[in-house]
Amino acid sequence: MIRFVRDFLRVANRPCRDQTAVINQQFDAPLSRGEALGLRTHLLVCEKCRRFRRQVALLRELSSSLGRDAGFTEPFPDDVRERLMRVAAGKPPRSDSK
Amino acid sequence: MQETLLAAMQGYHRFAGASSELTWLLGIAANRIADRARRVRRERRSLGGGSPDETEPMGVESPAAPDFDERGRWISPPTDWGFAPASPAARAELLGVLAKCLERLPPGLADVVWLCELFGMPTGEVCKVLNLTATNLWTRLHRARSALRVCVEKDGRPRRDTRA
Repeated sequence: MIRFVRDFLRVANRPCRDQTAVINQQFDAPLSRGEALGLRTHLLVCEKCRRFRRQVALLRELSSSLGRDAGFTEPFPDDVRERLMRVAAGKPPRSDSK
Repeated sequence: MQETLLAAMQGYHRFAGASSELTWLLGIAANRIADRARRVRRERRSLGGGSPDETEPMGVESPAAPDFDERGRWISPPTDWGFAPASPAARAELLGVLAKCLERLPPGLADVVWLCELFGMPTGEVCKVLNLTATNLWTRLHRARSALRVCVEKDGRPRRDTRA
């Protein structure tokens, strides 16, 4: 209960700049119940942040659509995923084409 | 099909340059996306749908342009986009604008958008690939999405579609 109230107050009392960060975080990770209620409370009274959320949601959907249209789909094949991880780690790819 | 990505993976040993292989790979993906967006715009023009001037500057020169004052209040709040593009033509136009804006994101922000949004890679894996903490990733995604929103808003926001 204490955590719920703390999270609620921490989010609900923040200005719009911080609310937009919480909105974006919500797209990638679930908020706690207190944070989610704090955000909803802000959105109830702030049309600007509601617009921000709708617009970012639309752009995310369109970005995903661009990726699908261009042939990038999830999940990656295992070999592509493994190569990508090796590239990112600075390791050479395994020469499996031989 | 992921032929571009596979080709890039298979051929990148030929790559020689200063930027990292990952950046190079994402650059190839970016070109592929931009090609697709240009094709959509051409098809739309050939159908007589008209198009905004493609040479017009788009203006993500300053993706971190302040939207807020020092107290965190909106300076330039989001305008009414009227909402989602109703017709396929309006959607195609918006996709073209978005692709251009994606090309203009700085590499550090573009990488997270490519991996999370376009490739649909889970955030945990993106953190591993880019060697970021979850908080760093969220911060970059927040900055990237905000920059994209400002770019689309400035130069190509959806217009109320009266044809649909």
